[in-house]
Amino acid sequence: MYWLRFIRLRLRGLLRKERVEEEMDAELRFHLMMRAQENVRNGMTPESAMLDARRRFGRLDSIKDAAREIKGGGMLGTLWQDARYGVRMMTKSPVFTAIAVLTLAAGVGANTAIFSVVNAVLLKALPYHNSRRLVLVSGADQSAGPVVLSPAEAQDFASQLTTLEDFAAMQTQSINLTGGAQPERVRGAFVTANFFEVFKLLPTAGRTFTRGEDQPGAERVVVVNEGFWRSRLNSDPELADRKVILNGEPYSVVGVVPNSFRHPLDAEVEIWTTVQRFPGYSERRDARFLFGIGHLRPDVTREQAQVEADTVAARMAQAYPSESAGRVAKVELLEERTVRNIRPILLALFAAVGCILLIACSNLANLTLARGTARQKEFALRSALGASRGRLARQLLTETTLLALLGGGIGLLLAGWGTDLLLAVNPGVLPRGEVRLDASVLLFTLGVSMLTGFLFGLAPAWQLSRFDLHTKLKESGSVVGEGAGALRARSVFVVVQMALALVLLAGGALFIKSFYRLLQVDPGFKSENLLTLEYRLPRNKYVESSAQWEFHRQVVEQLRAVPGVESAALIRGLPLTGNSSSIRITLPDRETPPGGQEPQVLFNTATPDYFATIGIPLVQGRLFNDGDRLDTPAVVVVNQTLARRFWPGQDPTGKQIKFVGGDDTPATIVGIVGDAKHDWLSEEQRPQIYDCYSQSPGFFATVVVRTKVEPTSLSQAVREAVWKVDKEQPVWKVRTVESLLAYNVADKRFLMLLMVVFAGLALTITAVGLYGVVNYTVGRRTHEIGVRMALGARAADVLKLVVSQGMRLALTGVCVGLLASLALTRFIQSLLFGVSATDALTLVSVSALLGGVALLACYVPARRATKVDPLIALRHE
Amino acid sequence: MPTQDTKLLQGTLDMLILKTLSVSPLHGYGIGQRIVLMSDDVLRVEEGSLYPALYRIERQGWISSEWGVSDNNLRAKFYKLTRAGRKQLQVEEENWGRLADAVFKVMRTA
Repeated sequence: MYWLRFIRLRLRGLLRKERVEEEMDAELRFHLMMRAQENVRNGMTPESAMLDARRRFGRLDSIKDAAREIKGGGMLGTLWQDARYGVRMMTKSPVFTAIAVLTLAAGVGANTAIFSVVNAVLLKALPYHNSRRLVLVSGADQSAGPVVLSPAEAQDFASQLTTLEDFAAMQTQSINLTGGAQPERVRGAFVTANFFEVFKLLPTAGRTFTRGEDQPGAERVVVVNEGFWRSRLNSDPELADRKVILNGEPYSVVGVVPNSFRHPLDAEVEIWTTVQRFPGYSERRDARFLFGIGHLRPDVTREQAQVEADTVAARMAQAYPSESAGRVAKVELLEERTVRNIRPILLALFAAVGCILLIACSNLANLTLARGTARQKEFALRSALGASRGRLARQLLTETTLLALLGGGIGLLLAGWGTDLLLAVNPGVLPRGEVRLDASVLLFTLGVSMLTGFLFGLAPAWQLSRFDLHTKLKESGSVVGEGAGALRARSVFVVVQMALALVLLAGGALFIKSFYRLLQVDPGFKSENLLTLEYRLPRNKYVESSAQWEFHRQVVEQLRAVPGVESAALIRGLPLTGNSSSIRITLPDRETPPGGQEPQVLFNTATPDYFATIGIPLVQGRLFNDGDRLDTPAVVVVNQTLARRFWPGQDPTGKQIKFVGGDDTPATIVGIVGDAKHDWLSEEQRPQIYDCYSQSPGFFATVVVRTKVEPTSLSQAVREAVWKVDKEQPVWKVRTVESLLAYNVADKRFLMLLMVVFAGLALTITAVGLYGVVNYTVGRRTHEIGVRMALGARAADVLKLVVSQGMRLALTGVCVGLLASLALTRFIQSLLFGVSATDALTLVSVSALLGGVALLACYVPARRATKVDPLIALRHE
Repeated sequence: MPTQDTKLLQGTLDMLILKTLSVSPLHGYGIGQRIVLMSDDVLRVEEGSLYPALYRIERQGWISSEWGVSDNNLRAKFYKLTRAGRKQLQVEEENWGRLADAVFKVMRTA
């Protein structure tokens, strides 16, 4: 009860201050009157009666003060007072307020936008049970080859790794879904039976897998997610009889899991089935296609798990030398794997916006310092009226914090729009939809705003403490010149701003150059007017190789018949799609290296027209032709890099190659084709080998079609060409190769655009800041300028004077910035392609740019100064 | 006339004010007068202590205030005891009694 009254009292003291004061006055006056009247009754004269009454009251003021202490608004009250005063001050100088608020909004907004992404991507835990302890277990060769495990290896790891408390294995792949209106492709996962237990995921209907369901011979079962259940199964509550046809075979739907569960590393997965259903499953130790996933035991570190995994791998290599020689294991945190690529980008961006905020702060500190000088009289007056230094400083800090909060509020709005924009321009690098302005982001914004306000309020508050205010008041007219300390502080701020702006400009320019270099890379093929799609044949429908080849052959024929198609072909892994496989080779014409150390090359399968269709030139020998069939000797085509690496200076046609892990029959090289990039434009050229579809048809193919017209106009026609061969064959990923190319460089483009925006922002804020300072200085020196001009200085001299003083600062800043750039840009080297972080030309050009802008920023106000009429200037105080 | 102003402890003054008001509501001046009267002129409350004390007691909720008209037709603020105040007065009276007895006992032993 007491507290309620206390608060009510304080609020009243706060909000109804005048009333409270009035009442107090009235009450005390009444008492005075009564005393005086009594005195008169006791025989005093009216005057002495009053005097006596007053005397009894003693220091009226201290009574009032004591009363105010009790009744007044308290600390909140003084803060409120300061705030109101601050608002009044802000409205008095709207230009300053506008500049300050906008600068702050830009700085805080940019920081908040990037922070919200950093928060969502780097800081938040993945949405799995105990996600910070989840690790991914994969295999590796000595030479960083394929990183997957075989089911047998996964089982061994599961039983032998004591540092993990659970272990499941998984892989994802596109699955054909038929039986509906159209054949469809759905992304599915092949997992061990304990998979859902690892994630402690309970089904919303039915069940998940039981033990033993992942062994060969078990029933075909599948678990689907809610989205799939709703769209393909019509939310049928009776699961018992539902079957879906996957890859040509019926599977029973046994359970439904929530939509909120995203399969690790592949969020598109909608259905889960058991491991032995994976096309290509075999119990052989070297049939590798799985990742292991599990939780670290509570007291175990990743390093300890890694050490144990190494031991297990070594044991396997010893026990099974032919399959596992030279293989090692890799244990990494799932979180690490997820953010590995994007972390450096985000950190670079975060550093950039941090710089912008610093620039904005120093800008404002400068402006506030300048204003502080002008407000000296005001503060001197208040000091004379009894305000303590602390009170005045608190006033200043309140003002700047108010500005900062206002700017921060607007910045938050901007950040909201900014993140929407970022997600819209999303290169697939950022997680969709999870970036939100949630509580931690809001806290961040608040914290940053308040810190900013405090920081740039410190400068004038400190300036205040160094003045002898009373002397200032006594001086007539204005303050002539300002303390050397303030001037030095301002100079430091300008230099700092220039330096930071230069670093950002250097970063932006480097990214531009890097992106430009990337675009200039010759991919090795012609990417225009190429349409592509993928398909995978169901195993049980096309059991014989001849049947597989027949399908592929007919597809190519149908494609050629489509009007608008110039040429068509098939390839196993199209460049830039991420589909790639490698293989180890041995060369019969030389000594065989020890097991596990055979050279590794990129491996692909193509139809004869592939090279012509995609634009890879034939350099020597011949391409595949109709003479190469299942029953004829195996032939391969290699790229120039492979030829040069293994047969430098010779003609490799006619030489033989053997594949490790295949049968022992060698293949003969019949031709050499040009090099082509495979996974990334920025990769080093790797040796490639192609065999032909007619000899190893397989189930999976990527269609490549060069069109005479705009490629997407033929999308449906190309789909139908496949359906003419088998109307139940799903196809997917219908897209143009150009879009693949764009996607490939998307993250670099994204980074470049953002850095350019930030650099531009930094440049603008700095230029405005410099302009503001020079402008202000000129304004204060109008008197001095008038004197100079009256004494014979020409306009040009004045110009030179002002500009040179400003430029001196600017150039110092540029030099400091150059040094900082040389030191700092090495951290972004990993994000750059084809350009050194200390590229001289870039640094010189941005220095010139910054210098030029600084010159302009100084020149404009300087010129205004020369227009001043000396007579007016002289009179100006 | 007393030879010196007896200094009153803050807590004691509060209690006296409460007691004064237990008789009937009064304005600030009247409270001071009544204390002088009831103590046979021994206790004089200084204005500097009276009003802060009044405001403090009001904040505690033991008295409430209301503007009214005094006997000589002047506008004045009247204070009156609240129910909580009455209880507090009892408590303080008891405490004071105990304190006084204790002091008395000490002073008695020569």
